[in-house]
Amino acid sequence: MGRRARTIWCVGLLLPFLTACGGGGGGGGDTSSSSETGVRVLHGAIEGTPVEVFASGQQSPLVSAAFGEASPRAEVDTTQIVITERGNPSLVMGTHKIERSMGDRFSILLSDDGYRSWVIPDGGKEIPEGRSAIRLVHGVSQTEELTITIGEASAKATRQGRGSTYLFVPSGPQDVVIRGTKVGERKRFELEAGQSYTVLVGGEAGYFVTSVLSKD
Amino acid sequence: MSRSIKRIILNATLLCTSIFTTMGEVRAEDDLLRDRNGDGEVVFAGFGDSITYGVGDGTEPGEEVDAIPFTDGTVGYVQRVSQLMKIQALNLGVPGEVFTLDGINRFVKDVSESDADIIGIMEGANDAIRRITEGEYGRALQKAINVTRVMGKTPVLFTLPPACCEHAGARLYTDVYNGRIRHLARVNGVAIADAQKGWITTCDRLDRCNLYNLPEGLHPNSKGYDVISQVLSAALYKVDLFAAGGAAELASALGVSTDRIVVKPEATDGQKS
Repeated sequence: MGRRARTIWCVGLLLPFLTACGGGGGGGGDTSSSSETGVRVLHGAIEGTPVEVFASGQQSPLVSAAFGEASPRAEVDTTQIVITERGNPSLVMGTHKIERSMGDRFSILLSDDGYRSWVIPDGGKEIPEGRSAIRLVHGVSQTEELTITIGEASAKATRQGRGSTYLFVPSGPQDVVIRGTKVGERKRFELEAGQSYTVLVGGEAGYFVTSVLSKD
Repeated sequence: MSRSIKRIILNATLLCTSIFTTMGEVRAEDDLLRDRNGDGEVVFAGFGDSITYGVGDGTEPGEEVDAIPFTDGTVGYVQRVSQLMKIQALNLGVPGEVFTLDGINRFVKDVSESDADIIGIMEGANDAIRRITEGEYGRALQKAINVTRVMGKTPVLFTLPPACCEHAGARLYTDVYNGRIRHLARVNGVAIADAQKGWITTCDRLDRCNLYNLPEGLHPNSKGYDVISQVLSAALYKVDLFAAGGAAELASALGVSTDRIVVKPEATDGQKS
């Protein structure tokens, strides 16, 4: 066998193994949605363990998230969902009935003050051409109202567990300012035209607050 | 099949095995010993109370100690880990601090202002003395884990050594905290530096442990700090230090002789460690 043939043969032998070496990683902070509709978790509970959300009676979790994360979205074909500690399905932290009024996309928001959870409908309104829709979801404990401001536009989430109305803002890079009593966050986000977004604001006012952008 | 083809297959197999083995090792180390902030070096910070600060270091097993050496914050397990692992290590220990009252309040500032990639959290002895409940302790620890992760750093949890002698009363609480520490490590996927187990396998007797300044029974002596630094190094290298052969594996990872490893393996049936 010549040197050239030997090299080709060896590369051919190794190629499947080498290509198999890639991949992995990801997870955790991925804010892209795996499904267009269904449920996701917005975890803003700073004292809370990571959670999993199950369709009632199912063995495999639909979605999972840790503090400061927005999970991908998963379809729900059930009338009830159950929130448990991650890896500990016997520790139920909340349940919610699924109703038509929730629409086809909704979030489970987790926040502190006794590890509470709320269901918040997502998206819904038509977005004007060339613009993006964005709102905040209030998952911060020990503060009242939070305000999201982008340029001249602003909207309020009146208390923990609530979302603001959506702002329709020009797409592209935008400075997003979140303010409240003992809360001040400023971040630059890149917004796609025609896309709806939620900014999860979680944590504890005066201690540590984080904000994360996710597509609706 | 000709001999040359057999040789090529053998070489290719060895090469593949080598690639996979190397990748496995890199990935295993990469998870914990990673330069998370991209500043070109891996930095560890030890967060905690007097045991992180290094109080009690410098005395030897068998000494009866009237006054525990306070030290200057440059010794203890943090300094040993820096030397053993040849990484920069910062000491964020504050003597006398109660984690649930004061430690958690300075946590955000101290951790965010450090260049550390890895945050080792070892605090709770003073909480145990004050009889802070397991629930309160666990919530504070989960908060610290959450903050560390959102800051882009890697948390590592220490279990707490069982106190003895003049501080034997704290052990009831530290044992309960250790249960919560293990639980939180599991649900959060966080590594444990198992100081409690290191004490259990290595103390000559738990009710008068030779790893402590005695008769005080709360602050480790030189050998005690060796144990803590070695259980941390094992956690960071993902070595099961308590398994048979664990000491040799850790010594190899650290590039030291096996007799430097003082932590004893777990006893197996019919064998005393």
